[in-house]
Amino acid sequence: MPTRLAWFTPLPPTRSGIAAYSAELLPALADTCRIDVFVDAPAGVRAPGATEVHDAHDFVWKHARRPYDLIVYQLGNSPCHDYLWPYLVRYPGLAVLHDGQLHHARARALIAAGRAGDYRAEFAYNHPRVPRSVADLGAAGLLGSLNYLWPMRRVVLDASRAALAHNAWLADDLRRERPALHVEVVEMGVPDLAAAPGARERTRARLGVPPDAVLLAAFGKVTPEKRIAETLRALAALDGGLPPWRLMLCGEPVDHYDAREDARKLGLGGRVRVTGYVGEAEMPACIAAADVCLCLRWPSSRETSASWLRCLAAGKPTIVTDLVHLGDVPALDPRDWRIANPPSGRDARGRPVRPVCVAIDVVDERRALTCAVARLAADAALRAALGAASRRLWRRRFTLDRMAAGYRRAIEAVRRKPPGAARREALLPHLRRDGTQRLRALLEEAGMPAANAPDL
Amino acid sequence: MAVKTVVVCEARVPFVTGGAEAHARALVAQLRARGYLTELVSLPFKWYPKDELLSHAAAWRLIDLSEANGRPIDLAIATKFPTYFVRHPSKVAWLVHQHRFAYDLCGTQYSDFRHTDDDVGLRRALMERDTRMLGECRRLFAISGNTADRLERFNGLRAEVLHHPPLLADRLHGGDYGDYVLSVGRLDALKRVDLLVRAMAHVDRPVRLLVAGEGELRESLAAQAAAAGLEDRIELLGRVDDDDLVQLYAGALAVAYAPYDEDYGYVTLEAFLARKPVITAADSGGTREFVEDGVNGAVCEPDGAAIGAAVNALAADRARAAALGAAGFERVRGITWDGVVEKLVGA
Repeated sequence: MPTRLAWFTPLPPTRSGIAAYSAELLPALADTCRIDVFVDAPAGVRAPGATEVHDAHDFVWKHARRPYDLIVYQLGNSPCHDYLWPYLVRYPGLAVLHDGQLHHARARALIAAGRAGDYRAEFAYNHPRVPRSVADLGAAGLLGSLNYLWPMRRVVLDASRAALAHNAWLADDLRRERPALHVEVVEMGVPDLAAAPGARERTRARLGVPPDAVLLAAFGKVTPEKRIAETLRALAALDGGLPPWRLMLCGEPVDHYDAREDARKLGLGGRVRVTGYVGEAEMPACIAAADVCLCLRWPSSRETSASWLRCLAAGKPTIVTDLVHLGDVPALDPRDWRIANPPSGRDARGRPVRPVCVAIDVVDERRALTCAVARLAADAALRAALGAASRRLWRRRFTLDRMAAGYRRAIEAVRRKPPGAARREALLPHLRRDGTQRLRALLEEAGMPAANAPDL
Repeated sequence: MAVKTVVVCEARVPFVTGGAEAHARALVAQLRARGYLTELVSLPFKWYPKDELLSHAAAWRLIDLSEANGRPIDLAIATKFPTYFVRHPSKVAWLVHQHRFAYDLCGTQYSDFRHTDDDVGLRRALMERDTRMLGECRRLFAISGNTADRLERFNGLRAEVLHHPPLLADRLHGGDYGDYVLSVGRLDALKRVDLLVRAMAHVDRPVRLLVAGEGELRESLAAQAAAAGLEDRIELLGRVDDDDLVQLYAGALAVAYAPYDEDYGYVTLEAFLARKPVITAADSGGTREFVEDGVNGAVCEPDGAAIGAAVNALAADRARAAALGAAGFERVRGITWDGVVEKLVGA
């Protein structure tokens, strides 16, 4: 009998990296599992592969009638994941943490709904030793990037049967926070989506990129965490000394950072293009058009970047932030062009490693980024070597098939474990509401405490 | 042991009378006519705010209906939510519907249940308890196939379908196929009378729409008709007494009844008993158990243009309207109370 899974995730047309991730992964799992996908609103959603898509409202009765073998929750900070939290805390399952911190998600969902009290309660539950005044700042919307310091994951870890992380560092982090929780590690994978013949040239022509220009590109929402402002300043500092270049920011702008205006003020306006949202079908062409891919991220909560993996799969040279969870990826330090990861420059067998990417030390970001951009813009041979190494790394570690195999293994491991460990009774009252609160209050008012009420 | 005393349990919304109320009262009358000592037990029902729902259910559970004034009550018949929470050693349900906003309407524009802690928790508690309480029943019956399907789908319980005739069954009769299409029912969102108003913009024949019934949407329907320039072709009659309603059915060209996923739909049966074709929608639920497209009426996509086209077709061919209406009569003439009470009591 195939394993029956309930899978909570956004799906396309929702604009989300995790939606695209699930749309790619689910068909690969559907040959061995029977999967019902529960979404916020199913209108316009096409079922990935041999899965069935349902409104998440239907989960309650479907699971009651025939319990699923395992419930999988794809968690992220985008609002499109808000809908699954009430189910996650009531129906323990496998929580896949795409982000190591969920503070953004909970703060936005609770405070926007006028539930600042519940936000404070959850903050205190998640971080009992942190002064309450921090939660007050959070409730006032004043924490910003400081959210990363207080990831607010404990509710998820306590409510879940198990957790899954895409890298060992995040997994270790989770285990430190909740030692009794079963945590699986499955490296993320992406498919081999080659761009159509001629797509590179057509995309570059459409963007107005001169044939001899080096095109640098960043992918995904144009947020400050992608270090766009720092990239623009590096380009401005180098401008006269660089070969012809263009910068493509391949994603939606955000309200709190105007990259176009930033570029204009630096005198770079004509050479920086913000494309707006690019769908999954068009993304391979955008990646193909690029000569250097900027995959920077700071702050980080040890999340694995799907867009970086897509650049690796496309055989592109990438510039990444030197983060601990990328420590096993051979990388060059652009300040001296030596191998930064591993520091010895050799693998476990003593063989010289071939670098895959250029890693930026965030403590010395301006200098490192300037060096990286200067060299990669000018050195086609280095770009080609890094690109080839990227493709090899993807093939070895980050293919979709490999991730699907990892998921199958993780699902079976979690299924074999007794489900009992979730600590629901310890969860906050607002996470355990079951519609009887008013009834109990009325019975109390009438001098008939709920404990003595007839069993319903 | 022979059943002698019966209570019919009704959850009544004060000041509102509709199909469910008619159903409960008709059942009481039929039980009495067959010699059973019968009482209607009503508790008021209010479905908002949502956190009151389980309190209303608990109210039924707290009452002892096993006997009254020393006389045993042999049977309790539950009808709609939350009457089946009633505590009785011999309970049957002739289910009208569960609390639909938490069930089949959830996720539609008609329900305010959302993916929130409160709502998910309440739905889970409600569905679990519904299943348990209905599971206590000696037998389960449903007023329609639609209701029975929902019960099986959501609660995993099987019910026997027991159709019954509408209150006016013995009085309805045929007549001319006049110059109006009749709409009957409460003016609320689920009944979708706004759809019929929109349809009139597509009716190019000299046909009016007469709307019998009251409800919260009366003013907005009037405004909708006026905005479309249709106020001289659409008449909101308000509440109509039974005598007038019988005459309205008799003189109609057709009856338009296109609610969203109706439980049963007395209006369909009333129309057919008056030998009138019924125009309904593909997603109208209980009406689809009786209306067959091209046989006794029209089944349209739920949009004004499709319904308007169906009206035009009937207006252009009254002989066809009569033939469809006659077929409708044949479809429902056999639905009587004979056997219904016996099943409920003998279960």
